[in-house]
Amino acid sequence: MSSSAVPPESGRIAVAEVATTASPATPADPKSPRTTGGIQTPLDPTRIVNPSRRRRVLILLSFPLFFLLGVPFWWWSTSIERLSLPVERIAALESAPVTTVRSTILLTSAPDAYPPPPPGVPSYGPRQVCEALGDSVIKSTEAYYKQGGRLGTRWWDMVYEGGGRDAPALHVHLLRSEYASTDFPLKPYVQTPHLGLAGIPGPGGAAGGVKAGTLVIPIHPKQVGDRYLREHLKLAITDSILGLYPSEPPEIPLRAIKYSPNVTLSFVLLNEDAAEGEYVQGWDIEAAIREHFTPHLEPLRPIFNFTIESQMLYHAPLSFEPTWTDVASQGEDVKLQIESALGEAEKGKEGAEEVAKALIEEDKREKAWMVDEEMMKVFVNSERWTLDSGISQNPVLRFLLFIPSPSHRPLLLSAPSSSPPSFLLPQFGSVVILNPPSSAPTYHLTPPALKSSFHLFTSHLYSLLALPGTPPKVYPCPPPDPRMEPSGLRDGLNRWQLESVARQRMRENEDEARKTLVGIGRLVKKIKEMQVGEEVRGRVVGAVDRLEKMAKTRDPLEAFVLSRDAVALANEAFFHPSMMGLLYFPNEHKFAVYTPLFAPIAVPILVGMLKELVAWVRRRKLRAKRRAGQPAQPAPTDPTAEEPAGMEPGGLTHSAADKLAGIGAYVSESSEEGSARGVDVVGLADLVIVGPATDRRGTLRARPSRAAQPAS
Amino acid sequence: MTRLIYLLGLLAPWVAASLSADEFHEALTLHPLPDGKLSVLFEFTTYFSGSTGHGRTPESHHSLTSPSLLLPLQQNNVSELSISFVSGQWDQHRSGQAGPLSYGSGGGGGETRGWLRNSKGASPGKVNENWVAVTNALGGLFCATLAPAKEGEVVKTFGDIYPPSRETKQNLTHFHVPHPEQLLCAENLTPFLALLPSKGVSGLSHLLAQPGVVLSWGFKAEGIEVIMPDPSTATGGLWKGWWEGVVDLVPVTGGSRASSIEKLFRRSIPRVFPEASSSVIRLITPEQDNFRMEPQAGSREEQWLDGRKREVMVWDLMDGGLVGQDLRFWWENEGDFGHPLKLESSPISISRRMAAPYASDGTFVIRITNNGDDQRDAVYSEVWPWWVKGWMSEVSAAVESGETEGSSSELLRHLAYHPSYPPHPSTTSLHFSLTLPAHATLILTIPYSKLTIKYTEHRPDAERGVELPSGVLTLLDLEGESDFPNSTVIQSRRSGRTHIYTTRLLLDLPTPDFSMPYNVIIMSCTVMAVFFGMMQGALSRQWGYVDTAMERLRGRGKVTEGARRGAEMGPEGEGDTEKIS
Repeated sequence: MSSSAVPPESGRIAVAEVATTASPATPADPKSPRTTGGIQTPLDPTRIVNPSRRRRVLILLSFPLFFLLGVPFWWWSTSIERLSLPVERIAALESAPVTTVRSTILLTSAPDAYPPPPPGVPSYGPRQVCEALGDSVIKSTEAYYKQGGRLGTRWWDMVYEGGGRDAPALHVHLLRSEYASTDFPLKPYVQTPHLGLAGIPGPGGAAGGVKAGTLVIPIHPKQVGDRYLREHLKLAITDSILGLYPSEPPEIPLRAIKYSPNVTLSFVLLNEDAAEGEYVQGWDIEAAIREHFTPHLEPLRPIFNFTIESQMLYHAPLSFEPTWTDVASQGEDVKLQIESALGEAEKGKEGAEEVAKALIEEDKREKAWMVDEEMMKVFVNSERWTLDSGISQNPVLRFLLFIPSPSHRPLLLSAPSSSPPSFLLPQFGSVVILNPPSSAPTYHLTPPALKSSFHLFTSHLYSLLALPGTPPKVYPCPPPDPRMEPSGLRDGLNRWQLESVARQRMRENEDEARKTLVGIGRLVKKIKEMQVGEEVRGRVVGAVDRLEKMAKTRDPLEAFVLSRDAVALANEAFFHPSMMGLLYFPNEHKFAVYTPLFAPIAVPILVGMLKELVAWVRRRKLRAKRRAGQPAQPAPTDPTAEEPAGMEPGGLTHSAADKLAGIGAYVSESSEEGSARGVDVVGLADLVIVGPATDRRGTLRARPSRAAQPAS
Repeated sequence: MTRLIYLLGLLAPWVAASLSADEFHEALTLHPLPDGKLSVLFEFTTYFSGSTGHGRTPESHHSLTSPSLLLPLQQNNVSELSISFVSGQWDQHRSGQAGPLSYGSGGGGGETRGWLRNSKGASPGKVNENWVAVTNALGGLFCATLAPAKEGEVVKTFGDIYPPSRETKQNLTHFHVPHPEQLLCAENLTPFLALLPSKGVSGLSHLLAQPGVVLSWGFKAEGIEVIMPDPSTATGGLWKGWWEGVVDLVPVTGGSRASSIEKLFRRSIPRVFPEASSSVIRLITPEQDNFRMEPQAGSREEQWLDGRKREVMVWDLMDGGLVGQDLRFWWENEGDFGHPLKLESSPISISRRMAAPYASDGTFVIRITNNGDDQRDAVYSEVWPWWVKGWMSEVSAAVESGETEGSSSELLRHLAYHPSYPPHPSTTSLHFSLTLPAHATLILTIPYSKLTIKYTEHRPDAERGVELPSGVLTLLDLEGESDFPNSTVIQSRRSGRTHIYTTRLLLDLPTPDFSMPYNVIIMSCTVMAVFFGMMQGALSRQWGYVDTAMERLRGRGKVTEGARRGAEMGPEGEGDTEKIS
């Protein structure tokens, strides 16, 4: 490490080479000794080798500049796609009133359903009669909504003409019928798809035929001449329309399932324990569904898509033990009787003992296995019972026909008046308990045996889907042949009820779609890093479009389809995989990633720039000081220097050097500008590097004693 | 190919037997093995005819079957499907059997195979989607991974090895997904029981519904095989589930092998499942004279099992006479069981090992021993992940010992090689058509290299290694199990076991250091700091004079230190200033 290893001459020569070849930046001053060759002062190599101050500043600045230039690329490569959502339209939807669709009702009459005018009075056609009747119906409806604070709106208009394709779906028809009741009030009914009273084929029937779904007001020929027929007609029509087409569709109760276009119905026959014997071996499920469910499912096709599956379980153990108690109603009486009989027997009454025995026997027969309300809640043993295939995400309604094992028969519900024992599980399904008579080792349930159970299942289906029942003032449709017995089964949903369901579900969907859209907007607003891609935006826009279009639609079914699609699109957008809040990192994560990368780079850049800044400040101070105290400055010691004397190292002031010493620097003169005076700072590290006596560096380390000599 | 068609014929009887009415059959087979163990096999077979309604609403009605099993298959156009889980190893040498009694069980781990109908007019990718959908659905049902992790992991060249049992291969696509890492565990037993109509409550399934008992057995295999009804020919469907385990009859402390149903299952014979069409306990009697049973069997059958004619005792449980009873069997006058010194070997046995297992490459050595008197025809098949690269030109087949000598070309008649196409996830499959000379061991060696797989492609437990699916030997010349009159006691071709499996193989892969991300961060930060500092320093360094002479004057040795100090002290001393100037 000895500097003596470097011959002073070689250093001198090398520096000279550098000076002649590599210092074009140095101004060629004729007075300068450098131009005449060789290094005259130790300052010269410093000046020659080191870049000028401006260039060094530029070099230092080039690094942050490079990063600045890189920022757009970084921005481009890390930015996320955030398409704008139609926020204003969503906000407008949020505040918009609930969409309601106005329907039209067609009122027609058979030509012979009203009394012929008395002689001399001009005869009116059916249309005029209907118009007059329609006006009075509208008036009485309006009056009904106004009276007694019943708030409601008539969401329909009456028309009296129409046919073909554009015929309104809702139709009221006055029909003269031999088989109608002769008594008042009139008994309106909604025509079912089978042949009606008119004896004319229903669906797509020829002109004059009564189409299925038509509200028929049957008038017996005897009634035609009645004085008050018109009043009766008005009452009958008003009441049935009010019942069938309420102003507000009923709220969807909590027990009903949320709307989903696809619904699976799972029918399960559960034998509690087939191995105990007396179990149900089979059931005519296809026939039962055809008879009891298909008539109700078919009309709902525009709203729900049903899938049906059925299975039988031979081992369906209960998770609880029912209690063996008296049948609720008779229990107390029999007990009293037994007690009194026993008391009499004690008194020695003849025969009383036998009476008591018989009563006890009877009492045994009146006992049953009871399922109380708490047990009903845990009746479905979902741990052990596989009640559906679970192959789709559709909501499943389960209809369970439970056959208790012989040791648990009869199994009854403790709730009174539940015969046959059945209960509904909200949003889950329905349970019917069937106690077969103990007569055969196995049973096969035929359609008649399943009738009562499926009747219950049907009514539970109506509850679970929130389907409207038949209003009180509308009577069941008579059988096609008057000689036939009424079927006793519930009629399927008619067109009027379907519209009611559509309006009800439309409201539900619209509400959900709006809430979801607002939620998406809020979510996107809240998580700034969340991506909003074309797929999400397309779905949101699609949902908004549909909701806006819905308000302009007149057909309730069409509006319902729009609402269904809107809610599906809104949910798709909301549950889109890219809309996951967890996918996006908080800022802390970003710092964690960027800090290890940029902190080590930033340190040299900042320190370098800080040094430059400090040097600049120092230079300024020095200059100011020099300007202020020039006379006091010592005389220049280096006559060869082109700069004024104050600039020389000898002019280094104590105070400045004191401070510089702290960072291990020494001050040298810069000579680039004639007027500028400066202090150049060389860092500690530089000095250390300068130290080693390598050849290259050695060139700069001209021997101080020699170098100083010409200066002194 | 003609042999495959013949095999198809073997499966025909029960296909013809499938009737329109649903039927449920169950059987428990006990098979004492010569090494003091007992193989226990439960089989549950259901014949069904799916009933779909006639209305516009799609309907699906089930009585003895479970819709959760059949509906996914029906919806995805599945014609046949078979799932097998195996945990533990079958010892071909000690048991004298080439594999478990359940012929559908694979060699190790999980395995899913199936034939799917190509839907008309649909895109060719549709059938692949169906396969993924159905395996995902059944994977959810069985709480196991059955679907391929990536589409390329599906093997489609095994159709000839597992031919469809009913239909011709026309319009069908075969899928095979091995999951060698999947083990049989308690989560797979509960859903299996739930699929049975008896639900583990009555019938033989009641014996099986004890996870604590059956899962403690050594070798365990579970599986299902479903053949869906064919709507075009109006034939019914069938689904069969099996569970097999191997129990050690000899107590830990030594003793006799005497055992009984109660001892095995801690339960007596359960009540009958009333809807069962048949329910039997079968016992394959060992070939020893001192074997006794109580109560005596109701009937007796003969069956060819792995080339041996065996006597099978059958107890019918349907009459209910055995309910609540026990079934005992023992070896008379047997004190402590002594392990036999010589064991009868199975007609064909196979083993696969790895020779020269280096980090980069190795050699598969497959030894197929034919102990029979006949020369046999067989196909040996393997599936490798893409990163195993076999050296096909180096494959050799040789006979180890014995009288028969054959050249490699005679032994290895044909090789079907379906290479993978890395780096896409794909598999290599190989089918070797082999001739197995009588009383000889054929050695097939396949050298291979391991390719490097990506950091992200390693399993979470990468250091453990990766299992290779078991190899399959498919015998092409079997004659079936039913009794042939006037035949000798040993006839190696008399067997129903078409497939003999090797065990799976654990292959260790070179694994990277998984703490690498941290190292990379640390390294890159250091490199950035050093590189950047140096670059900036080099570009903006100020060179200058250092007075080293002063140091020399002071007699200090360290030049740099002295120089710096000199520079620092410069302004203070008059001399320093001068020197700098």
